Amino acid sequence: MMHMPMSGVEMAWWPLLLIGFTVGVVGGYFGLGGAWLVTPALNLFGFPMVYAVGTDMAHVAGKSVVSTFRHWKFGHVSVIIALTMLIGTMAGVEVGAQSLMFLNKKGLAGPVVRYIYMVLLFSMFFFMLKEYLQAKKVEKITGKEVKDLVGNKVSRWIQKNLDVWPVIYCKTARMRISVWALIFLGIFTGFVAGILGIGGGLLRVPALIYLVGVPTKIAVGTDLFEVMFSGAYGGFTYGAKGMVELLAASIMLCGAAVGAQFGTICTKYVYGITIRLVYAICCFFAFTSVVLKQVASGYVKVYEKGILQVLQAQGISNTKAKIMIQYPEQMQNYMLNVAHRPDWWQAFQTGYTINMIGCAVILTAACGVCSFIIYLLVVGIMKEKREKRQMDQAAKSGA
Amino acid sequence: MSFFEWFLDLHKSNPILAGAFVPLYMAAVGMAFALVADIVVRLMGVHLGDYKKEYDDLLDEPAQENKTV
Repeated sequence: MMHMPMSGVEMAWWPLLLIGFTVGVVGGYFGLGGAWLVTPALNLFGFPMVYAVGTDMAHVAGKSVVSTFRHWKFGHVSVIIALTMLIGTMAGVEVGAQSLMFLNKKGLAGPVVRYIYMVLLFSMFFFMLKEYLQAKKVEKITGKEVKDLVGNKVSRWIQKNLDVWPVIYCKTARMRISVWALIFLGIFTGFVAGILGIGGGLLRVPALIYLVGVPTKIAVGTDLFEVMFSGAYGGFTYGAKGMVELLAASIMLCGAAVGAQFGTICTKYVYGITIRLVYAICCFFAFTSVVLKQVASGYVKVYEKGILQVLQAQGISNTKAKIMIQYPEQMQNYMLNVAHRPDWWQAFQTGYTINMIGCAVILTAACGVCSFIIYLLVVGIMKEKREKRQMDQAAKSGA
Repeated sequence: MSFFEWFLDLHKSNPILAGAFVPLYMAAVGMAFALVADIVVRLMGVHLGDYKKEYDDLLDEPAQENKTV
């Protein structure tokens, strides 16, 4: 067990290394920061939620450097698109965060965030899976393998009709697009990310594919370039607030740096359409996890208001009380021995169990996807080596 | 005093500086890992440079209604 100096938590090093590795593989493959995976995973292993978000942000700042470096070498990064979108993203995230604070004051933040999440995740799952199945149908009819889909009606409409000066030429994706279209897109994805309290990679990758019309691999690399900046900003703000456990972030980065290499190199050996299929599967599991959270929130309503009043009567501040209601041991004591409310304790246990099942669902899915990506990587490397050997033999026999 | 305890003290004395230190430290460690991994993967015989992508030919073609490669 290791002592975390900032939070005072005792935690083993291996779950941190494993979480880092898994999120590194998945993030490098999809172009995501991975907050949707790290936060519940850390929480599941007993890491306090308040430090989980900040620690995740800090490790993303380092991990995205590793992934972006590799994607950039492969030629998957469009710096001009990423930097232009970043302008809109920063503005959008700020407006989104302010909207979240407003919703929080009204007591609506939790359900609104979860419903937006559910709609987005299910739409992405449904749309990407439908597209993959259609591509497979085309493959059967034409007998030609479909490797990626580039652009659609919406992206071509944006490129043609939103042709407002200044227009930039992206050499990597070989396309022309108005700066305003990219900034607007950045504002939109940033706004939703700000409301959801995430980095935004989950939205930017589909937005780049379907609205800008770049190939899947360029969407992944370009998004990671942006994640590098959002991670650095998140690391700074959470670090200044004392919510970053640097020791945990460093251990996670060790695992993530290795995992990110695997995930990123794998994109070289798979087609864009395969990346979209795995993305759709991930969206489905994330959707299931959010649905379970929404179900659990129904049980929270039973005791939350009452137990907060009890804790405040004991001289505990509201902020501290909100943190305390996440810990079962403390809640058992206060609900049964202080408040004498076994019904609260029962609701707490049910809600807590459902929440943990949600965390386990997302973690299991991530481990499965991670194993599948490593399998694809091994197959790809072996195929490349076999082809190289055959070429060498052919060259020798020719000589 | 360990490095992580030093960071804790830094946060207590100057939170802004501690905040600025987090992304810089993480980026530096990340970059170091990236360079080391680059050497290791290269030694494994994996080509890490630019390569022929499945969408390369498609991007050179004129616009179509539904582009598939």
